[in-house]
Amino acid sequence: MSFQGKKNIPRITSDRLLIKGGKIVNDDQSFYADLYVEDGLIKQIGENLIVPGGIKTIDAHGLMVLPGGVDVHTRLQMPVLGMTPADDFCQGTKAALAGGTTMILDHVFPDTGVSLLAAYEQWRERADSGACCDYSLHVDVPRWHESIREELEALVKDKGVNSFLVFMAYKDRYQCTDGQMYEIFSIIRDLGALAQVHAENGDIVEEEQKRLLELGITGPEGHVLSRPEEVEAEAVYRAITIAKQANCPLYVTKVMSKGAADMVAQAKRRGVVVFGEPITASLGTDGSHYWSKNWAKAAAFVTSPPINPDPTTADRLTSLLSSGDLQVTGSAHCTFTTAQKAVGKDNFTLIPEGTNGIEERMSVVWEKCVASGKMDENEFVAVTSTNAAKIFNIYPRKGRVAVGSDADLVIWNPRATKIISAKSHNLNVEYNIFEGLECRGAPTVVVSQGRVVMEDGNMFVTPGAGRFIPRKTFPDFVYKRIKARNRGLRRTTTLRDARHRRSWRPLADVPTSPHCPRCPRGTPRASGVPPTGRRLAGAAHLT
Amino acid sequence: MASGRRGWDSSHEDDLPVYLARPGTTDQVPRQKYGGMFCNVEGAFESKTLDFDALSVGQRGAKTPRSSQGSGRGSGSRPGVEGDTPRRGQGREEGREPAPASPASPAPAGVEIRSATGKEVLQNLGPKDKSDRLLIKGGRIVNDDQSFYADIYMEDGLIKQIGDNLIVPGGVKTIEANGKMVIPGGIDVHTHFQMPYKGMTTVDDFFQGTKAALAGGTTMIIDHVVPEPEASLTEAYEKWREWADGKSCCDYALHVDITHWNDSVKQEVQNLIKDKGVNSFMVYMAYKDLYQVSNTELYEIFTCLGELGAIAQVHAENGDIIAQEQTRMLEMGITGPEGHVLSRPEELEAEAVFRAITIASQTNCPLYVTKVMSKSAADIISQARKKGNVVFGEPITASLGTDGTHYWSKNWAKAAAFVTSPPLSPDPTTPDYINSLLASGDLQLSGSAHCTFSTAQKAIGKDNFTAIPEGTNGVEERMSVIWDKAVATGKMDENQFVAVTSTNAAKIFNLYPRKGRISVGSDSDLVIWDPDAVKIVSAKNHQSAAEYNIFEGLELRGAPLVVICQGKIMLEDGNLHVTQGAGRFIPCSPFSDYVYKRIKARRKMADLHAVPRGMYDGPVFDLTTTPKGGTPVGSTRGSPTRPNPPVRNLHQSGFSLSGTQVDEGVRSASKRIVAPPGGRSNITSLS
Repeated sequence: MSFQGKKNIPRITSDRLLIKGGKIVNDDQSFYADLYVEDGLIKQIGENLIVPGGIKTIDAHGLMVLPGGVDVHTRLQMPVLGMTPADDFCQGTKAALAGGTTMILDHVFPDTGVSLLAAYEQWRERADSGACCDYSLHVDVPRWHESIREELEALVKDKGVNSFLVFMAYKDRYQCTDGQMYEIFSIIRDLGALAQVHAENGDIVEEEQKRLLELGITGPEGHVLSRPEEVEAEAVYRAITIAKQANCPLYVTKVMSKGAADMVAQAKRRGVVVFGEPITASLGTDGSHYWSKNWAKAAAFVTSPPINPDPTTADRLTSLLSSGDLQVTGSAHCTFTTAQKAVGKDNFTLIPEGTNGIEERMSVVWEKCVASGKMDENEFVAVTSTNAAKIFNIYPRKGRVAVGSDADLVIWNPRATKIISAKSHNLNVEYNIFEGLECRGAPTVVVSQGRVVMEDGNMFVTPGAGRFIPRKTFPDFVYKRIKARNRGLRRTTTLRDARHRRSWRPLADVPTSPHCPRCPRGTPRASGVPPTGRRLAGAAHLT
Repeated sequence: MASGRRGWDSSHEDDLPVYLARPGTTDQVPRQKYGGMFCNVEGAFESKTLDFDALSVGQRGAKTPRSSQGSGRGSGSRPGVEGDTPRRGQGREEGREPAPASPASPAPAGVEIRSATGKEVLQNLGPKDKSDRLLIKGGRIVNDDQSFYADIYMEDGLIKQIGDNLIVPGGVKTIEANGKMVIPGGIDVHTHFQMPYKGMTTVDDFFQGTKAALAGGTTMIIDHVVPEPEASLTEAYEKWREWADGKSCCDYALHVDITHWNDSVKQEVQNLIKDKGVNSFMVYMAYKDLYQVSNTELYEIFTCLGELGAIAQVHAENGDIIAQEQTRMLEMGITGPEGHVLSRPEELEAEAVFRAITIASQTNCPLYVTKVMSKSAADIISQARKKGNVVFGEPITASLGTDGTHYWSKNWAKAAAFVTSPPLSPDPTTPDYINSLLASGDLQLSGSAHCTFSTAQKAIGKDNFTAIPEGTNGVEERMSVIWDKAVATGKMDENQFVAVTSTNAAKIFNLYPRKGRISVGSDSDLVIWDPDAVKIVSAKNHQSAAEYNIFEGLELRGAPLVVICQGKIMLEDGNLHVTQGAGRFIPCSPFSDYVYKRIKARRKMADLHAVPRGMYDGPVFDLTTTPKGGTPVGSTRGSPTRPNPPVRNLHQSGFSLSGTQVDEGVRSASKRIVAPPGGRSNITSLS
């Protein structure tokens, strides 16, 4: 790589950049070309580009130029019991950039008594001042209330949010009933947004937690024992059923087990519009560590749904990711220090949940999927970046190396080898759940908004440089099918309706007394009792 | 034949080369009878009445003693059958080739009942001592494991002897089965006779219902006790007992539905299991705000039932979503019966089945899914069984025999007659699919969910489908429907037929082998089945009091010829001889082997152990450090009150914007970290 002068890089040539000789990899094809970046946008792609003189040039011979990763699930500001994660927006996005991720989608989690909009503003404020890379926001809907429709509508219309998460777990705190889910899904469908679920059956989890605590199991192994795979799969199945019923696109966050992944895959085959998001932890490690004698280590793995103890899970998930049954990868990065985790040292239900993964995501996926031969580099780009951009409607601005796209690029070295360790990672947390994992494939240079933010392991980030990326509703990738089905549904229902009206005639012959005068062959009770049936029926079915 | 063969052998013997010749003689070695390696234990068959010749299943004609060309052994060795051998022979011919009866047989096909005294006493009109004794001769006994020919002698309502050449007292009534199948009487595991519903009662009470059951070959029913929500289970149980004891014509047992859940209900459940002979309880996942129980309650109920050795039944449908869909349908103006099926799509049934299975597997409780109505629900059950869950599925007559296309019938009365929950699937291939799963053992037993309302009663919901009382007929048609759809089509054999109509039910509800099997000591509830009879179902001639039959016009092969219940002939030649109140309550004891063996074994395996770790002695984040400063921007538009953990000030961050690029732990002063001397470390507390 050639420089003009290292000290001047950020100031003078930061918004002009030439990447020469790299193999550009998109989700559909790879090709060799040079790339010219200016003002944070990709301006030219091709051979023998005519570029202004004196710009910074990066030599990418033998390397790949990928669209920067999009991490669809982070929680860098998640409040748990009054604690904030060890990695906030600044530290988290720095780690993201170090790993080749140039955009994150963080979850806004409204705390008790805070409206969705207010929480959104809080997050915006925190992120605008802290984020080093572009970001966007999902909004969690932890509580149902009457005016939810207006709040969601405001967020969608004015605030650039197009995805909302509901919880099927955390009973008595954030959990939604089936009926509420149906209503929220219906609202989301009408607004053209995407429904995300945290899929676990909170009722069962709660009961199991009680049982395990009674049994005297208080360590982190209780966490995984109280949240078995079936409970996750069940909730996924239920969410899919409800989403299908409401004709709403569904996005299952944190697919952690085979059972859940299979449910998503089967539903896709049945034609349901559903997306599944495995996370770094479920792809890169397994849950056997919950039984570690080292409490700190075991606690570091605590997340929900838990990492599956079955060591073949990661293999299945990567296979499904390769085959397209799962579409995107997130990290669900939400780290707490050991001291914070130790709040639950005597009761696993109090351990704040979350694992790291924002920095390791790209390398873990490369190692597990591409290096093992399950997918090629194009699919790698699809699952780490392009699909996410499509689903959340920021494509082709993000997720593609093309003229006019944002200059969020990663120069990827497939031959680099890195051993993940808490000693060398860019996080505040003192434990890394991938400790010792050797990953082939690592970013050499990361370009965010046209600036080099990482080069050969050196970080040049500016907190607050990250912009909020608003997202529009009705993403084509998701809603084309839904729209068609809505049309179809409307047609058939009116048809039935009409048919029903026509069939109303013959009813006249039927003895239709609401009093049920006498049941033909002697049922003494029927005649004696006043016709309260009607009112009861209403109460039974319509409430 | 045998001699001819030997002749052939000997004639060619000389042609055989030497090396092929057996050492010694080439004659057949006489079989060693005693003491040889392959011999039976000496005397093993002495004083046994089983005729092992008769065990040759499926080759009716091959058995010499019974064919008309038989040797003298058959007729000579049997007392009391002199002179009727030829007739029986003709009857058997009949059985084999149905339509073209030999012209030499003027006697009507089927069976013949006669009294040895010469008096034709069919019912208990005659002296009691005679009516209690019954002999079925020449029938093919079909159990769930095998079929064989044998005679059956019954006395006092029990089967006393099975075999050939029975020594029976004189003066017994004899039924000549003429080679027809004798099967254990059917057990209908799901009925709602005389069920009160919103001030009405189903038109078939226990008398009418059990009469219909007997007419169809079902000799025992298990009815559902449906207590009103908030009412006592025990009281409801007593009420049902009273009704049934007074009216039932056949034996019955009871399931009790749990319509609400609290500690007193738990106590009642215990009492019912211990003292009242109930071992199965049903919970509803549908009927929101009426019967529906939450997931938590399901978990508790299943845990409780699992500990007490009972069987948890579920009505599996997602009631929450149904309520939403019903509202939507009514808003769209769909008020007819088609709204019923539109608001309860197949997926909601499958979802609930899956959820119930998950909860049951979590609590290690056996699960029984009532009314499997759709392909996807059946699939979920069959997948769960493959995964090893203890789960049983009960399709009903309606789902096996018809489909839900009739909900769109222009005749409101007809469409309404099909209204039941979960609804019949509108997919016309569903019955075929469910029959296949029943044949393959993925579904185990069949019920009828017989719960009939007259059209006038159904018409309560003429303007609102949600008010239509739910239920279809099926108790009478159940056996014939399964025979026609599954056996006659070659999906299952007669043994599997017995299994799904009777034996499996008896095993699951711990009535086996008293019910569900033809063996010595079992109750004499028998059906002589005619596989070739053809009957057209019609409301005109059915036994039910309902004016509509959902199987109207269905042509069914297979029908009962004679039905014997408690040792008495209840149906013969199409004539019913029932006695109101003759039915006994059959108590079901808990911990049925068929169900609980696996559960018990798993319980032993499933002990959970905590990981032995030392005390964690590292730093602990101090939760008491509540954030100082102002509270965050509160929302005026609050959420439904959830008093919860301390509100955190989101403006106070743990991060200070230092802009540093070096990796260093940044913590705010507001968080007090008790750090050990020596700085940050990975806290290990290896025991």
